Amino acid sequence: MPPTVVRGYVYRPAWTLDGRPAAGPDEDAFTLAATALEGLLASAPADPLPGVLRLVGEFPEVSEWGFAPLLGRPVRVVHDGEGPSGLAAALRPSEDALVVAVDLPERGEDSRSAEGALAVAARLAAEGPSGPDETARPGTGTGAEAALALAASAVGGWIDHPRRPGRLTLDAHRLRAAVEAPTRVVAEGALVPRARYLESLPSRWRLVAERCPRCAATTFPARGACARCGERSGLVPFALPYDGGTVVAATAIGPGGQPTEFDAQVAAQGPYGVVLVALAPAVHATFAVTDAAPVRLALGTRVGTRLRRLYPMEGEWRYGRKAVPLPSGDQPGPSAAGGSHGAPTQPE
Amino acid sequence: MSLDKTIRKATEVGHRAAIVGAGHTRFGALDAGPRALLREAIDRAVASVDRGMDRSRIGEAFVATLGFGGWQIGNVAAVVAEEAGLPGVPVTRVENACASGGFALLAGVRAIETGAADLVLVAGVEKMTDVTNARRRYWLGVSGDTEWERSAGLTFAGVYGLLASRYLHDHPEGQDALAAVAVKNHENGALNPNAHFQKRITREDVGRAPRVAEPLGLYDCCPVSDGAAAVLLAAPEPAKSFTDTPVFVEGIGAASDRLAVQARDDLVRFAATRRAAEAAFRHAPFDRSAIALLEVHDCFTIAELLALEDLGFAGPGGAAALTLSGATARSGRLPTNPDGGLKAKGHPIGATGVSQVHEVFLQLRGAAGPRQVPGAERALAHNVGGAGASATVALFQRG
Repeated sequence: MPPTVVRGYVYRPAWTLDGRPAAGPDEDAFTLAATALEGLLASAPADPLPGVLRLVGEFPEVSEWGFAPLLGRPVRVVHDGEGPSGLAAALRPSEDALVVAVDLPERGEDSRSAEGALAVAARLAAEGPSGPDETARPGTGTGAEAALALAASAVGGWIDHPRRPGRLTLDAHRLRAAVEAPTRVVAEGALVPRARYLESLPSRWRLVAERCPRCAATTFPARGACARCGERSGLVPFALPYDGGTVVAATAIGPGGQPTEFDAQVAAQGPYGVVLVALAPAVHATFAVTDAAPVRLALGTRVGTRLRRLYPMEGEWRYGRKAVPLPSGDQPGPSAAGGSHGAPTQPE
Repeated sequence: MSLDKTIRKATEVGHRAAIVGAGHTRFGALDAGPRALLREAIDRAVASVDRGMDRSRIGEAFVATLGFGGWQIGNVAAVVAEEAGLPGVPVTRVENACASGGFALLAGVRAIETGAADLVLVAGVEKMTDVTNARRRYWLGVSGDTEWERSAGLTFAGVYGLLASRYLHDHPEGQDALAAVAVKNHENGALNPNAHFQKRITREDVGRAPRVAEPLGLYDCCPVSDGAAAVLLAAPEPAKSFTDTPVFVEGIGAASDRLAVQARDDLVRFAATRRAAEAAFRHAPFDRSAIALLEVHDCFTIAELLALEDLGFAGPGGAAALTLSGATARSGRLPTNPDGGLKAKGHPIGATGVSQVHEVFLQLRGAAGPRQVPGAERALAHNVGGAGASATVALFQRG
């Protein structure tokens, strides 16, 4: 049996390098995959989702355990290696799976994993199912991207995430400096020890809040007690929308105004924005701004949130959500990656 | 009322304690270490008592300090006993971030009120310029919401920058008022020999300064300073043996709010300040119209505008017009921060709340020299910890 794909989603970063999509300084394979997953789920919620996630490409260690807290459910992660052979393994017809393939060519990785996935999608759309050996055919992608396939029983549509006008650019040297230098830095920050970081992941990564059964107030982040009335039992956890916020306060942090753990970022990229976002009535959350120029957003701007690297601490990257301005007004229609079966709904 | 539900019950006391002495070091980047600073402030407080004071009569002491840089983060109390010459006297260290001094005063007033001691020393100290820039920024962040707001890239400048953006969005005239606060407080600081900054600046200087956390620039921020301050509190009867003109604490209130600004309903009001002020005025024998001068917590220029509104001296957005009208200048009807405030005088964290009381003591006794507010008889001091997470308000009257 040849591989079949029911749905796909392509995420291309907002940054460009020599005209090609390039991962921003706070992105890596894990965050690209996370954004693609969220895009897929938002565009076409599937129930039930396959319980297996197959990874194709070079992924950081967090990928071994990070997808379960991101998705809020158990998931078995299988790493199938890189490139065409990895993709062929991931698209095994015997098992339903979420397949995510990531390319980061500007990081010196040339695995053509996502590119291969796009090629498969293109061929499936044009010709119908055939053998997994076809995965080596060149696709349409040449830069950083994450292609996510929900492998199951029928050929379906692929959609591109909507892009904003005015792409951001980085020169290669600065990009590399920004990305690689912080991994060698030991942050002298106000320490959030690993245990506290891990226990807060539902709120950090999925924006989980709690609704009080007594006074109906929403408390974010969730902490097992109502912030208004103090109720501690019967609190109902729920995920706030990660794409439906409005900026209610905004600043831009200039050199010297940042916590020390952001020093390398400021040195490489200059000032960064921070916004207070209303995620729901009377529910506010603070996010750094990413993928935006200028970095200081206007009050009232509609923003979504994306999982990104925050800063290195205790020998690992800490991840959390950052705010990105959403496209306003005329959103581009879905452009199927190598096919024409784009889903009608938009993730953003 | 949601304010009552969300804010812990304010601490209230109504009994009078008398300030009979006050001492102050220079504020700034100083050679002296924290021990020497403490000793100098305490010695000056003792020496300031009109009819002299035998320090062995001090029954209890409170010291406010963050322990910045890790200096004596534990057991600073023993250091105070040593430097103050108070062998055997119980000393309690109070740490409520930038409101440590105000809460130390509260503790001292309580000790007098309950009769635990007849004479109490309240001191505050911080040594901030002896650590690297990186460590300084680490320590400046530990009193905020380290787990959420800081991980979004915020220091206190950033948090107040967010608040300022909201205030200016709602009240565009506030932009000029921010600059006016900086200019006014530098004007006052220029007349204060203890101030960190003793030079005047112009609104153009404020506008040209590098942006630290938009819309706030460098001149919207208080400096990082070393310094210490101390006051001596006495019960009403023994106070008479020390001076004919004590300054009485006529009301004092304190309150807490949620640590993170993101957890609050209102971004441009500090509920802790409002609650503390309510509690203080409830017990005072006078109302706001009797206040001749204010010492408010202006760690950033926006904080002075918020304070004027939260303390009840202006309505929402009204602090901008009040400031631009000149009312808060030394010669205005509501002189605010005549000593230069945190903005120009400096902000050695633990010392700040005590320093405000020192200024009130001088002003109400007519001893403030060239920056004297003529005829001032009643004053208010307002101390904030974090971005409104804790606050004290104290009301004073010349005896």
